[in-house]
Amino acid sequence: MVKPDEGKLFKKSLTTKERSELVFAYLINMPTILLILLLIGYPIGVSLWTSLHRYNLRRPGQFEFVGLGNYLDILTSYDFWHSIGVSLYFTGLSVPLIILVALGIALLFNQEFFGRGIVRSMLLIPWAIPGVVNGLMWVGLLGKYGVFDKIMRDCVNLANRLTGLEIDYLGMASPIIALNAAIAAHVWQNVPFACIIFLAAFQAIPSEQYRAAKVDGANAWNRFFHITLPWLLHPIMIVAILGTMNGFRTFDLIFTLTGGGPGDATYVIAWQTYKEAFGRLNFGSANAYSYLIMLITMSLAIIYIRLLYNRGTVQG
Amino acid sequence: MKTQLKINNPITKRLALYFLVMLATLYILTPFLWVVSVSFMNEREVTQMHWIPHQPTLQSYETYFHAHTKNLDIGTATARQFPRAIINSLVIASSVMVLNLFFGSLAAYALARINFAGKLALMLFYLCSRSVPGIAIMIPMYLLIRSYGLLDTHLAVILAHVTFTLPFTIWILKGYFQTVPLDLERAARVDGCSQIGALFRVFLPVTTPGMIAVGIFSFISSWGEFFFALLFTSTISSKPVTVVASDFAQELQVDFTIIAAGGVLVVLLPIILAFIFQRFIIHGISGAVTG
Repeated sequence: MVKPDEGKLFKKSLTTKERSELVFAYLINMPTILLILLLIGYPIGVSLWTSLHRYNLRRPGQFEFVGLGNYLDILTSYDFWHSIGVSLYFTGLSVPLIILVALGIALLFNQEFFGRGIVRSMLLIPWAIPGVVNGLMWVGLLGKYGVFDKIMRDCVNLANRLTGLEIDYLGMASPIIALNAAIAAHVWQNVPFACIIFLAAFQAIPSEQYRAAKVDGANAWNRFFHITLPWLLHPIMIVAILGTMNGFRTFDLIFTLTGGGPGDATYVIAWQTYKEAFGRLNFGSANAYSYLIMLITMSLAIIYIRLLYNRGTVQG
Repeated sequence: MKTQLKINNPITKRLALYFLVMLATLYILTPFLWVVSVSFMNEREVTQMHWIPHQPTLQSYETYFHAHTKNLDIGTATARQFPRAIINSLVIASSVMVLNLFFGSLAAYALARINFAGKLALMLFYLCSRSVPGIAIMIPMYLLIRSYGLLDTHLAVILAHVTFTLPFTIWILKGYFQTVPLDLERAARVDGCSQIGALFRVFLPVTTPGMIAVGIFSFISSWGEFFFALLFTSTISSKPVTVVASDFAQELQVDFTIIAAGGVLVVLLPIILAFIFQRFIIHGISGAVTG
């Protein structure tokens, strides 16, 4: 990561003060840099190297260069495309839901009403709950005696009565229910974070704009579409990008809520990678999986960083 | 036209607002409150599907803290590991918090105050490292930790958590440090403070809200982190509470009352911290994420 203008800066000779500041700056950044290089940078390199080899812990002696062989195997396998499909569905549905629900709640909580402070701080509850516990909670909520299970059963019964169909409600044993339940749990946990960002964004909108619009006779919808929404575009983008990255990484929730099941219905890409590595001990191809996940998330990260950069936040 | 009039009626508007706020609050709270409620029920009452326990009992919590109980239900073995696991989590999360505050404030100070060659590159380096998914580097990390003989130690989990929380910490702190007036620092320097002295005597006291936000953030994320903890720990000597709690997912037929009590025990501390420090947390999130 060498900056292009670094050379330029060195050409004009540095004063003693500048030089000592440079040394000082890197010195106090050193622990962090070393830690990241050792625990993130080095593994990224090794991961790439291993992904080009046949390497299974069951046969530890074998470490054979296969070039892009692992990638070819993966890209032609059912497992990979299935997990990509599940992850795309999971992320594609949960991100818009998070944005819509969070936007709705933020709009409400931005109004003046009695108890607003308390209600707003309730947002921190789902945020503070670890993913593992969230999964366990929803196991109960959707389980045999769970409230949501009862609601779902009642809904299906009602639908059956109205339409004359005979749909059996299988609960979490049904692939469709299990996958969508995971999405519901994920959305519930991630809405508060988005809400907090949106509420902060509302604060940044100059109130004169609303007053002017009111004077001009704009109704609430017009005010929302012409003032609020444009100001919210940037935060919405950020929530969408971070949400997509989180969606593709989802692991804890799947671990406790569905364990990938029923069958392979909730095999998201992170779960598939984990299984490949620590289930089948197939480190070569698991690293190839890892690299593909990395490609997806890092390209999103670059968009995110560009967004921040264009706003001038990165220059500091 | 008539409906238009109705909606514009201030009282109707008010009522509609309170109704919607109630719905939103129910959505946010119901899942968790139901679990809390179940944790105070006995198994029979769960099957009757009450909302509120008619005969509240601490039975489920006793499974966790009375190792001598004769209760041999499934899940008891996992439950008995909780007290030790909570201690492990406390050790890990507090260390992560302290290391974050120390290294984070050093790095953030340089980024906020010193103009040095490669600063932009360094910031991009931090931002990128924050986006690397843990799952993508799990195998080399696992092998690395194993080769140093650190598997199943607190240190392994602490190192992983610190590495993944530091970039965010630096990011938030940099923002807070930039709000400190330059004059304040200059005055300190004139009075004979060294650069590092200025950091500790001028910056840290002024930026306490930022430090609190960052400390609580790193604590809560380390407490709730699961993936690296799962990879690096294998026995109760180092397993944090998230990993122990995940065992419930592997055991079939554990009473949900017991799982619910366990869930409440895991989230109690982060939720209390989040409530106490909510102002700092909300300010921190909104400032750091959107820039």
